[in-house]
Amino acid sequence: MLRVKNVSKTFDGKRMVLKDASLDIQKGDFVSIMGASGSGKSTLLTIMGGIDKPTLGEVYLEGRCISNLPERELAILRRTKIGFVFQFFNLAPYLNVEENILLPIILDRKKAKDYKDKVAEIMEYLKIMPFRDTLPTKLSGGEQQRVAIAKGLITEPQIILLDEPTGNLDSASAEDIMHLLVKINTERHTTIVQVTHDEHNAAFASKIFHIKDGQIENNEHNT
Amino acid sequence: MNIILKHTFKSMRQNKAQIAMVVATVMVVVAMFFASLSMFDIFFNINAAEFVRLSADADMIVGAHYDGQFYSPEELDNVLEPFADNIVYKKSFIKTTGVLKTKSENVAILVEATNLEQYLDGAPLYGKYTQGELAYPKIVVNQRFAGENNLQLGQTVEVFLATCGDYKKFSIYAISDNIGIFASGSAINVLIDLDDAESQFGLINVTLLKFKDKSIFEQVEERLTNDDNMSSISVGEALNTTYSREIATNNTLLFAIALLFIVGMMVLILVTSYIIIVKSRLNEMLIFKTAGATPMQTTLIMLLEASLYAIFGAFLGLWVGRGGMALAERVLLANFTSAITYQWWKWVLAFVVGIIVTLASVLAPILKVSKQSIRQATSGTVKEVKFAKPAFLAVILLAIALVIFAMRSLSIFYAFAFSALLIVLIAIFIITSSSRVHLWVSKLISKVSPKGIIALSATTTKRNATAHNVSILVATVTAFSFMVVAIIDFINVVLTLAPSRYSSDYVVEYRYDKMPEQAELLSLERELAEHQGVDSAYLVASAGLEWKDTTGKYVGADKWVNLIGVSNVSNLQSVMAEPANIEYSPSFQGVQNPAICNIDIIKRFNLKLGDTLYFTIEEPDGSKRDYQHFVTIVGIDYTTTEYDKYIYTNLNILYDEQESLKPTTRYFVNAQPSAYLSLRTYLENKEELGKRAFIFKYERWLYASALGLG
Repeated sequence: MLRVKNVSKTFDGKRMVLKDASLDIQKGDFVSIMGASGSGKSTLLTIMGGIDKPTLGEVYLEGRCISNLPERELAILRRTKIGFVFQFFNLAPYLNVEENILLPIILDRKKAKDYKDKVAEIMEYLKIMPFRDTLPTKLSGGEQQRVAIAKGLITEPQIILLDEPTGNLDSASAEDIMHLLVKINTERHTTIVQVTHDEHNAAFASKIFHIKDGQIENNEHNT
Repeated sequence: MNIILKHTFKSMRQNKAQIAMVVATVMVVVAMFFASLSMFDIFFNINAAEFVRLSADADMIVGAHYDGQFYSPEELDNVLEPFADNIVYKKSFIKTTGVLKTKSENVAILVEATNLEQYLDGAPLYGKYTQGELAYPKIVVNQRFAGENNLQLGQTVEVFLATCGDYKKFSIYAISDNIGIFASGSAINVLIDLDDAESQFGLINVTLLKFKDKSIFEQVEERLTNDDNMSSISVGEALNTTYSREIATNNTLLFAIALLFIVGMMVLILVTSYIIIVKSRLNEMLIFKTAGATPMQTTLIMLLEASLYAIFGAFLGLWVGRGGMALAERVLLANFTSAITYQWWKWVLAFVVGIIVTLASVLAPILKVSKQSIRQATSGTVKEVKFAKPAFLAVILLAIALVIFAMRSLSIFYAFAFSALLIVLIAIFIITSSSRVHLWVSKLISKVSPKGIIALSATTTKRNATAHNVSILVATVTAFSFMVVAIIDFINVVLTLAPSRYSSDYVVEYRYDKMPEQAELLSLERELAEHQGVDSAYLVASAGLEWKDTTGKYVGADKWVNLIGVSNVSNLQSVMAEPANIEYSPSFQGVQNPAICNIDIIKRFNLKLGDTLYFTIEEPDGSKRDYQHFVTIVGIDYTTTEYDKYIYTNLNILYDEQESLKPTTRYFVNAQPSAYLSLRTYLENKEELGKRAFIFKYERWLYASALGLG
């Protein structure tokens, strides 16, 4: 479903942040990309999601190369086929929970009222219905990440990419979010790719890729 | 409400300071632009109002409004005889300067004498009239003048009439509203009957003619100029719209240049403010981008926000501009010949221009952020500011100097084109130099407060592009403030004439037909200085003549200079408003005719200390000849404005050509307030002066001088 082929990345033309990285992700996979800070894992994720472009190599989503798409097409890709959840920059501060979830729909020029039931269903599913009219600033970190995941799910993307989704949470909230991701993966068959430096959280995935100094060292199947 | 619109409205609450600056900037742009659309009307009416006040609806004026040459009305009738059937009316006037004497002071006035009964029948004045018997001949004053001088109906006033050379008593017959002949807000005129002016042989100096068919104008003009007895009398359009239009066009063009500078600076303020605003909006835009917003969508979201500021600012600007114009009308012009127009298209155009200027200014910073990929926007690297090389800054400064020099040398139309280049250069200079200035300031401050925010702002990672933008904003606002002050000053100069270069409490004007002996003038200077309560008295005699230009570069008014004779040029500073601004050459004592020139002459004629100046005299018949004296520049007066050209020299050289030069004489007197009335009595009773010396309070005299009544 998502194929990274010989991708290298440098920002300054000297130091390679990613070196000839390749990996394949199948539909329905729950993948963790693990590595220390500065290992290149977030760069790999952003390249996989079309947020950044590789210096060398290609990225294929459902067989289509997305590495050199213009910014406008990448934006359309992000709101239709890929859901994103970051450690930060997830929720618009002046919109309530429901409006935040609807944001990708509005940007896709669709009518919000047509998605009313779907939003309610996702909010129920992620147990955030009581916060429907609440502003993000009034929510805890874990609740905010649930809303961010809901926003990622509203367009029914084939894959959700998460960059340190629990990096800003306490251990109980992090555990809660990881169980939620497993639930989404198993019940909705949504492909999930997360990058993390936390071994415990990484262990929730079915596949784990280790990355060090920009190179993917190995991958392991987690049982 | 649309979710994005709702978010935009709510996020606007952030950056209140920047938003206030953007709205205020748009408001000023729109207000200035709106005002500029009607500025021609203001300038035209300022100039035309005086013509209309004096000429009403007449077609032709024979003579001049202020102290014109006298002629016989019978001679005029003879010349006009062939056109008698084509003349609707013919109004005869004597218009001459006079002095109205109240209990507390003298006031310089314009005395307008005509057939009072006929005039009031034809042009009824609205106001208050006396019902009772009057002790003396009638005089009509206007409401504003009566209020300023505490004059009442029926009151007796004394007026010095140049026509009979003496004071004459009048009773105030009417206090007119400020309309008709009293319409101009600046006029200090009184109306009396022609017979009461006691003009010798019934001579007059103004006639207004109204024709049935205006096409005979040129025939009448030709016949008058060819007549032996009338050829020296000026003839022209009663309402000189061509002249007024010329002045108004030039002033409007100057105003447009000023406006161009303001708008240029405003654009820089808008751009810089918006760079700061979009940077603070970056996180929100990232949220939209990760949710799938295209660059076009983020651009539109930010443009929507900018449009709201533009609409609000432009709306305010229209009313501020309209209010400013209303204030200008009220202050500058009591009555208008034609109302200043505010057609609908001016409102729409100013509004649209405000919106376009705003959106065009903010587009670049918005596009820059919108085009950034999420990765670029979240890269977190601090952009180090680049410092322009000193050589580059020097080149820009040199270019600015050259453009300013070119603007001063070229005609106003080229100056308009060069001003756009100057704005660009100033903008480049501000942008490229502000980082260095910021660094210097912070280094300087770090010596006093090493951990203060300003000290830290230019060091290490803090020396980033954001700090640079703030520096540019501060520099631009400073430059803009300076420019606004300069433009207000310019408008003051355009509207209120040149400010005075002298400083004194009182002015004694000595009016004569033939210049008295130098010893007599100097003797009066001494007597005034020795009068009780007087601190000092300074004689100033002035005459106009042309600078003898051998280059052929200067023409017309550019060559016209005022030669001012004083008793002693070495103590000139004692009477100047800014005495410290006079620079003397150390070696001027032995010079034959030492002269002190104001800086305008020095610059305009490219002169320097030690240069010798020669002059040309223009005779009444228009012929020119050389002036027998020359002067040598020994000093420069930096206080005078650039709108006058003065040369101070010794009094004696004005005597030899006084028939042609017709010098006027005045004394600047510094004295206690209590000395004023005793000085007035002294001057009236001094027989040698023949009741031709008048003392005025300085501000009153200055105002009258500006109106040509000094």
